[in-house]
Amino acid sequence: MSRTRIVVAVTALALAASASAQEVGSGWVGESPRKGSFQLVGSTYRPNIDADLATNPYQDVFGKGRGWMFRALGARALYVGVGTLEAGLGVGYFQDTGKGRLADGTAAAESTALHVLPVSASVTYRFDYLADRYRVPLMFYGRASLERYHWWVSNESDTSKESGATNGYSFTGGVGLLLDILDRGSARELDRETGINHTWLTFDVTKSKVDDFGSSKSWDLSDEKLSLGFGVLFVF
Amino acid sequence: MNARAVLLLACGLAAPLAGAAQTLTAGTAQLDDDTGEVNYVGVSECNGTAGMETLRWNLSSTPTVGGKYEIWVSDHSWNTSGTDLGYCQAASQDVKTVFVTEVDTSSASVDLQPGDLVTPLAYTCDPTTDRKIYLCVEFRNAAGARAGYANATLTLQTRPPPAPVSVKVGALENALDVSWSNGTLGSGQAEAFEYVAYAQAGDETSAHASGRTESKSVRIEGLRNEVAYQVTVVAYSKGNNPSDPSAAVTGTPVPVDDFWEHYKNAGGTDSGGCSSGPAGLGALAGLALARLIRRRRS
Repeated sequence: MSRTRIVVAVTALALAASASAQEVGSGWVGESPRKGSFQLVGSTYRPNIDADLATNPYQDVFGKGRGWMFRALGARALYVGVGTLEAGLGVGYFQDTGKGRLADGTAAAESTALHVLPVSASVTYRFDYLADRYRVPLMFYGRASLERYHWWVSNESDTSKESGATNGYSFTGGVGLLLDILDRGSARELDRETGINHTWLTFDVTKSKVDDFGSSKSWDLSDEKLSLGFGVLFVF
Repeated sequence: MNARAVLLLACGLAAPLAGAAQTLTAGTAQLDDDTGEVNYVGVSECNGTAGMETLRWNLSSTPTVGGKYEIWVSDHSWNTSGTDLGYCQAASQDVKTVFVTEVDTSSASVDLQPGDLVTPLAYTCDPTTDRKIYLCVEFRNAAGARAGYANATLTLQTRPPPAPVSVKVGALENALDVSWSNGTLGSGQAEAFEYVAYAQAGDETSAHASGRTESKSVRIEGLRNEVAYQVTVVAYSKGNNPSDPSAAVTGTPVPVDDFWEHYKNAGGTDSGGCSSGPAGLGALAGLALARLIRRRRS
């Protein structure tokens, strides 16, 4: 399915849900104050390490596929009005495992792995005004992040390890679908009991640049493509 | 019979007690084993070369100070009914008596030579089939009355397992990956329970041994790259009786580039460590703040 079709499908679903919500007459009356959010995201990732090299060491060891990076982001609301502005911190994990190489370049029996633990400080603007004001269960968000990717390489025997950290930044744009529309009663009960105002299903796209700001002495841990992610956002 | 079976047996014996108007209490006993399976007596334990081991037991009630534990063995099972339920039969042999001087729990133990449990039964240490040793720990209070017991069924097993076969060796960095299959079980042989793999170079006086494993593959560490090692595998029965070594297979550890080494060999310029780029999120935040201030001033 093309990206355009996905957007059309999501929009249609949102409008239908909005109409449904208006029919039953439910709204956001009695909502608890908003303090921030917590988001869990899974996104595809493949570091761009081979880009600056004549050969392809990453592809040699780990193949051509893209792996999954999982992240958790917590944020504090700075402004709640026409949309929400938040500042937050995030942490995640990525691992790729492959076979080491023998002197002749062929695969060895011994495995090796690259581990990446990204931490980030970010500012997010979430345009959820449509959901708040007009009960349209859609929102859009943009995020700018300073990134620091802690990484380490391991092998089976732990005889050779290398570790380090590479800095950079990223920009994310995403769309959210309000899950509260599935069961508004439960959503209000969740708010009363836990303070979680809304639960969003999120889809986003991230462009990262993690190469120590262009340093020639650093490898490039930017995603070699746009990173597609999906997750769940809890607004509390 | 393993420890779980002993426990089940003891529980089964204990069940009838609930409805009987007796003061007997049931418990379990277990002969610990540093190697091999618990409650098994192997050839080295039978002939006394394996050293002391610990016999542990527990009763379901707390013994009284001034009483004593009597350890009995028999080639017949203990009484399974009547007022002597749980106690060894009259033809049993007394092995050891442990006096209770300070007891605050129903558990106790004693170190003994496993061969001492075999000798009273006139068993030899080279039987062709497994033999059972029925062990009773009987508690007598200060007045000499029976007040509790614990039981265990031990297995005297002196048969070795067949030598492992089809040994395969994979070359790793400073290590070898060894895998094998069980040999065909012949008459007078026991099933393999654990294994140890050995690797020895021609210029070494002793072999590098893997740890004991119940798996059929193991990694032998601490070897030298580009040095040929003769690899053998020895199987052990539950009684800790060793098999003959498997046929020797040659294996040679090789240098293996992990991903970092492969990256560097490909001309990678990153040098690792946190020195690459500004250090930490604090530095990142500082950088962002500096740019903001510069923008405001301009």
